[in-house]
Amino acid sequence: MRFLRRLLNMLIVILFVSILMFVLVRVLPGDPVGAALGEGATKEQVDKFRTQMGMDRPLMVQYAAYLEGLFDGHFGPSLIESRDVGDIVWERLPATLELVICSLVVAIAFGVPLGIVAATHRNGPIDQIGRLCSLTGVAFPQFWAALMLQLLLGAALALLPITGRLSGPPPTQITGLYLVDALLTGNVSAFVDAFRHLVSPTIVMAVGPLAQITSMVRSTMLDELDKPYVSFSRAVGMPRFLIDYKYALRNAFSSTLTLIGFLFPLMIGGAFVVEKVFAWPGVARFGADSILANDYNAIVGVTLVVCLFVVAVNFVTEELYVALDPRIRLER
Amino acid sequence: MQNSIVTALRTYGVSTAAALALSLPVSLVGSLLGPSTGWADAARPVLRAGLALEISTLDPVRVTNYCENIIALNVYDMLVMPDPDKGIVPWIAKSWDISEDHKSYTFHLRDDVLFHDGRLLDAEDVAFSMRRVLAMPGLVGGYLRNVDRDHIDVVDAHTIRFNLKQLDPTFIRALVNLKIVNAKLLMANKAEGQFGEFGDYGAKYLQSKDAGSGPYSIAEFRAGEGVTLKAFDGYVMRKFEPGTPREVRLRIIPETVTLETKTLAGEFDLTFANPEPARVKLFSENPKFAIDRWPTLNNYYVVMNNTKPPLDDENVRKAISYAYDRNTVMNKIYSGGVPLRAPIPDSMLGKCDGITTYDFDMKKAAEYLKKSKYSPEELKKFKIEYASTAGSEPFEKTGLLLTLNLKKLGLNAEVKTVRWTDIVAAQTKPETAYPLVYFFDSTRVRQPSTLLQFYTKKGWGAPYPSGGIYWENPDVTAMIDKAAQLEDGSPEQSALYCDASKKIAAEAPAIFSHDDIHLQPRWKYLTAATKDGGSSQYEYRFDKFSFNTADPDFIANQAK
Repeated sequence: MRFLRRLLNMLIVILFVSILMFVLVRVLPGDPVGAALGEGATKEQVDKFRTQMGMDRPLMVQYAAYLEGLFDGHFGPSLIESRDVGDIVWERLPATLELVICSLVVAIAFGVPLGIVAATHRNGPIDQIGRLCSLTGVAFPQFWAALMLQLLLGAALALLPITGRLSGPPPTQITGLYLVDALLTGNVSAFVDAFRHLVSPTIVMAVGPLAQITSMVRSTMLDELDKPYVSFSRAVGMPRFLIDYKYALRNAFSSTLTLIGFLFPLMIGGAFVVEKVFAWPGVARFGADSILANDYNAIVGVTLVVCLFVVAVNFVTEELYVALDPRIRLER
Repeated sequence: MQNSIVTALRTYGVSTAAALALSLPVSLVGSLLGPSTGWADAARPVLRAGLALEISTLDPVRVTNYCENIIALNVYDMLVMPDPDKGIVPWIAKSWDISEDHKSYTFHLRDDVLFHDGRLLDAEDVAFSMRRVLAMPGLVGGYLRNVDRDHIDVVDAHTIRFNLKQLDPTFIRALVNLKIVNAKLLMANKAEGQFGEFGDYGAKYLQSKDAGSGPYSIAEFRAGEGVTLKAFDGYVMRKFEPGTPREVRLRIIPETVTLETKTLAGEFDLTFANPEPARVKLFSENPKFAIDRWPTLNNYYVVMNNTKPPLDDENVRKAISYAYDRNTVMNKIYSGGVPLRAPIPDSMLGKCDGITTYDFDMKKAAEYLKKSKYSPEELKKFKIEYASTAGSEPFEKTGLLLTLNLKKLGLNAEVKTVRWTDIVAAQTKPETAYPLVYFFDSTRVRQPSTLLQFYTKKGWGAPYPSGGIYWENPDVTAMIDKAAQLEDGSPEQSALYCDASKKIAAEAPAIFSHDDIHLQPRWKYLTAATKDGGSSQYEYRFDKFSFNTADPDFIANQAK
């Protein structure tokens, strides 16, 4: 019952976002049709195209048609690419997901241990260096970091590709995530190729979240380590490793989990800078271009997909809270 | 390897000690990752270049940006070919006849042109292509809007006649935009659509494939990544010489600094986009690079909304024109240019003396402002917005320079950054059109009337920056209408366009800024375009490019 109630809540959120975005993009000024047709277009052609796109109908009728299309899996035609936005989004989403997942894994894999070490060595050299790095990481302009990595690792040293997702042919598509598909099909060269292309953008994408995770783990761990049960455990001679990692970290991790839950959809939406500099064919870049071109259906489509991830990750995060802290279940 | 790392880091201003320290771990990681390897085939050279804009479509009817246009003009052929010296020359059409009333054009086609699927191109394909262009919304349809779609006559397999609904002096030149598609291939691959028996006119098919007869065919298209073209061995219009690119890999690189980095690293052979003035020396000081420069027909204007006070006053418009520092814009914000005196560039207008010009002069600007019908207090109250297209730094810089000068004159001017779509929408009504809009027109149809139409009522309200000028002079309209009835390029027609330009410039309904200079950095082993191609991007027909395949840099770069 609880599951169904939460699922219904998710659907209501998505529906609300779809209405809001659908109306907003249409009432704001701008003529996407005239821009899409270019400088040679006459008023008659613009009007004809507007009719073809159904934009001359009342807003409610347009939304009803849009919703009907959504149930059939259609997001409506893109003004720029003149094909269904859904096709474009599903084509480009794996690229963004692969980048975001890799970046988040790197951020968690390095950020959590760094945060723990910083907390357990409070005010020591490791803590000081960790804090300095966190501050630098949060303040790091992605754009600059990306260009510097390209210059160093790509142009000057020729160690890694400067841009793109792959140099050679892609592996047989299963998930659209090249690393996964290459592994599943046993295509080693494609795996190495995809991995080499991922390194630079992943580093750039991971730096900010890594710093945030390190900082969050450190502060929550410090709170936890100050609690009486930790002092008691130390007094009775419990091994420090056990106290830090089994009890303190588990209790401190809820806040970090919330942060990670927020970071994931934020990174999907905010990946456009990295995608632009690294010419990464992701959905975030498409979304940013759609806003500039005022491509109605594309803006709504990309927003809905990001929204879908927000509610889905929120759903998963809340379930994980329960796993981490059984008291949450009892309180419901 | 470590030496190269240290050298590279020193290039970017890192001290020797720091470079040495940094190079150790980097070289270690490098040995683990290892650079990619490849090989060069001198018999089948590959041209590699970056495109700064997205490729949204491969359909020649829907192309709008210059990157899509470059692909279309290499994959498709046209009835006529633009020529920088002769204007228009025969291509698929061997010759053509024009009726006495200039409303009927009969084209005689070559009989040996093959499509990429091996089928012979005939008049039915040309008729289909024209009908398709006129039926589907898109830029090209606008250029050919005067063709009567119901009276396209296929005389025989190699003769076709187009009839115009009204006189159109631009028609022949506009034909460079009509790309001939393979009718049978598209109909065999049509999807459901709104065009009755024609379905979607093959639009879905052309999203990722081609139906052309040009020197290159589309081998691969990856949305958001790029396109690979392969030389078409059956191409009869021009032979592929040794050294001509047999494959072209165009990759989408939206960030221009990255694009330049890849070119410098040898991953690209040239760039199509101008480097920023400050970055030109990266190429000019590199002995492996050459920079080709040529004046373009990208006409830069600051169009004014002539209905909006105080711009409804000719003296205010002249004051603003004098306050525009053209030389700084051309030479500091852009990498040089050719000044414009009127809506039409001199290269199209020919000899035309007596055009009023407005060279930067703040004293004259102040004098004209004094002559205004508005008092200085009234002038201060009017807000003069300069609409700068979002995402264009040069546009914003130009606006800042102009508005600064206007503020010195006591005018209330400011730069407003606006999306292109919003500018286009605003220009369709006099009450919403921005007072000042800066933009460039790339003159895809090189006939003066395409530029002059915006200074007549016919061009008012067009969804384009020039559509928001809202200025007319009955004499100018009469001259343009009369010129339309004369033989294209005739001395009488040129004289009328010259007179019209003089009258327009005399009332300063817009600031006529400049044509920019195109800068093309390229590796020296590549011979590429050296001058304008006669129409937008036609200098980039890759079958005219050539590699020196013996050059060691060519061999090294082809492997990257």
